[in-house]
Amino acid sequence: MSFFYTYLSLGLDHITDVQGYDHILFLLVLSALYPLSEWKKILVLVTAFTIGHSLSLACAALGIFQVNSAWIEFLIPVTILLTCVLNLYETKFELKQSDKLVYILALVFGLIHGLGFSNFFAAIYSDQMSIVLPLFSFNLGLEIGQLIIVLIFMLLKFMLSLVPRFSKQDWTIFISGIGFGLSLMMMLERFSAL
Amino acid sequence: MKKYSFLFALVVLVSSFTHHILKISNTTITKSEGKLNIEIKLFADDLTETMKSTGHSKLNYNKASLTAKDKEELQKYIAKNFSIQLNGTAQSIQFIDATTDLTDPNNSVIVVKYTSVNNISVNKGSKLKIKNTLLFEAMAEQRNMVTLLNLVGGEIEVMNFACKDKDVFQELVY
Repeated sequence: MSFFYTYLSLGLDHITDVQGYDHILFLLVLSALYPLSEWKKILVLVTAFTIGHSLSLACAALGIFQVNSAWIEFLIPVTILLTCVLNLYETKFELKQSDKLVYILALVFGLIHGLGFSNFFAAIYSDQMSIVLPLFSFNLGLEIGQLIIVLIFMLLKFMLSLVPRFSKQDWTIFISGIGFGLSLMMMLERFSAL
Repeated sequence: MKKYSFLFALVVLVSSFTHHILKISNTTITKSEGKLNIEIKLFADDLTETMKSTGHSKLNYNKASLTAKDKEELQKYIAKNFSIQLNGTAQSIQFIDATTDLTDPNNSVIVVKYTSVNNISVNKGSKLKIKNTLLFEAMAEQRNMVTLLNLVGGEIEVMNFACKDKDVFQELVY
């Protein structure tokens, strides 16, 4: 297996690892509001998230700044919880959030998730080699994994939309409810490590 | 429908709740002044679990400073599960030190350093064979990555060992 493909597969496996499901959960709640027909917006959202986490992962890996990983692990479920609250708020009051605001949030929340990825990346990366190729291929693996997760999620949503009495509102409440509960549990669990 | 959605969310909420990273180790091999330098990175919790499964129930590597006993048992364990052959000849490696990297306190990493006892010459056509079964006893999903840096010119090579594929040895011809 080539050096490039090794790190690409590590990025892909890391994001799709269901045991570390916080990143997956964030992607699901982030895209919960959008139907498959708005795939371009979803693509921009996922890309904004990727840009955010790529930037912070690169900065952390290059040692530009160091962060307290316990705080990052706590803040990751906070980003999920806030996204769920925004989803539920929009659904309840039938408001339409500005797309730009959502993209900016995805970017900012991506910065936090990237610092979470950096812990794993630091453990598998040796500082005796150039960081460029491992970082690029690891990030590419993360991006591919994210797009696969969102695609599966959107296809599931599309299939459910064919069921009579299924409504977009129910879906958003269902996914955001799960996200809210799980992120709250994660926050409580990780609070003790602060 | 909304009530049922929340009920289901609650069921999921109280179901299994785990947060863990992939089971992986990273070994980097470089060359300086004619000798091989080997750096092995293992997640401390995975190492502790593996040592327990091999009968060392009292050892715990999830701490800032390792004891002499921790290091001694670690060396014995690595000697059983990691080896290097060059052109069919086993290469002796000498333990330098083992330290704990606490950059991420939730997932601390044990960094173990070795150097080859003898000077080693790796050239074009050299055949390098590595055994890496670290942590395989306790982790069915364990993957071990070995990166060989600049052993011949500026070449970077990677070997991947997977427990599920029963990868014990990997061979590389430069």
